[in-house]
Amino acid sequence: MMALEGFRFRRGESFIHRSDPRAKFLLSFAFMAMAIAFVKLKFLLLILALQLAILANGRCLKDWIRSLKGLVPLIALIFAAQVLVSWSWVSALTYSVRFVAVTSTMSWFLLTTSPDDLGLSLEQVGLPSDISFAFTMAIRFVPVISYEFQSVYDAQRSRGLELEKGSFVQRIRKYVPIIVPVFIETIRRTYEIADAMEVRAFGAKPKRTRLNVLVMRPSDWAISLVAVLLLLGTVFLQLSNAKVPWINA
Amino acid sequence: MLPLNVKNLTFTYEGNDFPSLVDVSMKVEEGEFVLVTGPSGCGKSTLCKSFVGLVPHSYPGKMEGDVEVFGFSVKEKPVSEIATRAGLVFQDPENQLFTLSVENDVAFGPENLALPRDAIRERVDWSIGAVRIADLRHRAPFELSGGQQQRAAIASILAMKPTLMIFDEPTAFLDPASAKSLFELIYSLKKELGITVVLVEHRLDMVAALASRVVVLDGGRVVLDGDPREVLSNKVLERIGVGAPAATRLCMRLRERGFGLEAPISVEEAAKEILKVLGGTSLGRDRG
Ligand SMILES: Nc1ncnc2c1ncn2[C@@H]1O[C@H](COP(=O)(O)OP(=O)(O)OP(=O)(O)O)[C@@H](O)[C@H]1O
Ligand SMILES: [Mg+2]
Repeated sequence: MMALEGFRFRRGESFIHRSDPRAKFLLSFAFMAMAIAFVKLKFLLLILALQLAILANGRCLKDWIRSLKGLVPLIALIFAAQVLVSWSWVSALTYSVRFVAVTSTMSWFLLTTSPDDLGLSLEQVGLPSDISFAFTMAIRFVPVISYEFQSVYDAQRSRGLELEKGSFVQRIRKYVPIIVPVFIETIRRTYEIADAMEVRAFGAKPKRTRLNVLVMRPSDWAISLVAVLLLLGTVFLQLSNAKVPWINA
Repeated sequence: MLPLNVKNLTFTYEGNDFPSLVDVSMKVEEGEFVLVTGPSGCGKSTLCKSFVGLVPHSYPGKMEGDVEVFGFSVKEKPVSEIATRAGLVFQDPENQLFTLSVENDVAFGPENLALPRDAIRERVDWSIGAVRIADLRHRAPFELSGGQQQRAAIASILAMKPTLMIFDEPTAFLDPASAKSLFELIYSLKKELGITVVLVEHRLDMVAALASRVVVLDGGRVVLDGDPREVLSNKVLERIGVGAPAATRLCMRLRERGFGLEAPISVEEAAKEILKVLGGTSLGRDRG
């Protein structure tokens, strides 16, 4: 659960928090594309550093570090696998940094973007409102359900359920008394949420209006422009095989 | 036009071989505050759902009889249309807040009605003011206490501008202090907005004095319906496992012992009654 902490929205007033989700998404996507396209340690570290600056602006470095701690086993796995495959420390380090750089693109985006605004921006780029709303709700209820999982987990353990012992298959089977109650509870919750939506006239009109509307500010256009240029540059370098120092040479 | 007119309603959920409501008839007049109570599983929530059309529209089953809301049969109107006249507040506030801010949640209903932005803003301002949480406008549900969450849920229903409000055990998830303040809020909303209220509740000690009428259900049937004093002092309550207010029970016990007491519905009334038979009056002043 700790790994998820670095992806959960925290309200804030920073520049990055106030930026338009569409602009942020483009930038996040550009970073991800670059980190995937160019496997060069120096360059990946640069991308990571830029994203750390963004996280620092949003005052969510701490959350990012916490999620990083949760990801340590995965990072270690990538590192070890790379050492075994290529027998190169540099390559192992490069791939580990790349993993962190890629996950960070999602981390800062989700940490600084309210799911409400995310849903709103999906709607404003033309997605039907039920779909964008389902998306917002999923994000809204993930912490609620994970909290429920945690409390059933604790309750069953306090009744003597031993999850750490036994073979892999045995341990999986021991999760049944946790999964089943959480599953049933989630279904019950779904019904209640559906009722609560209906009594507020969900689906009454083919097109709902919105109280808040997202407006791109000049700084949002600037962010988008930078992101598009970075994406174009990435595509160009990938197609042309040109070698540029720092990036891929 | 009667806010609610339930006519011989019998309802069996699809898949059940027993009815959850049996031949229920009740009328609710404008401006009433009706308290509905009964043991667990007696059909209170099913009845609430039928008041706004969720039964039978969202919960299929066999329905006989009818429910009329302001003269219209719930069978003939979609839930979204009934919602602008009759609002339903549920138990668990968490499942009634879908977004990440009070403002967005309260705006949700008016947005669904496709109202213009100015009208939505006006309704949001008005609703959060009415439940006294204007300062929590930009908070997320998980940043609110249970009582505040339930107020937000009430505001989100108020924003639909209903003239009948139904509350299904709205304090089930709240501590006694928050529950008390929520009941006070509901009572003041009724007074200030002139709406009609149906409240399902089992914490009778706290709400008996607010109600103008009490309806008791058992096994899907209406077993008692009438003046709070008469209903709450009825012997039937004990038999079906409904706890009358402690003050009422105390005085009924004393009456059985031969004291000439009236049935009270609040601690204050009980104190007055007891002092009356004791022949003293000064103590009553101190106790307030
Ligand atoms: N969705 C459903 N499908 C099938 N049966 C249901 C459904 N909801 C309720 N019931 C059944 O209908 C009966 C009445 O339930 P209801 O929830 O209306 O009672 P209640 O008085 O609100 O109970 P509680 O005090 O526990 O809230 C119960 O026997 C219950 O099992
Ligand atoms: Mg109920």
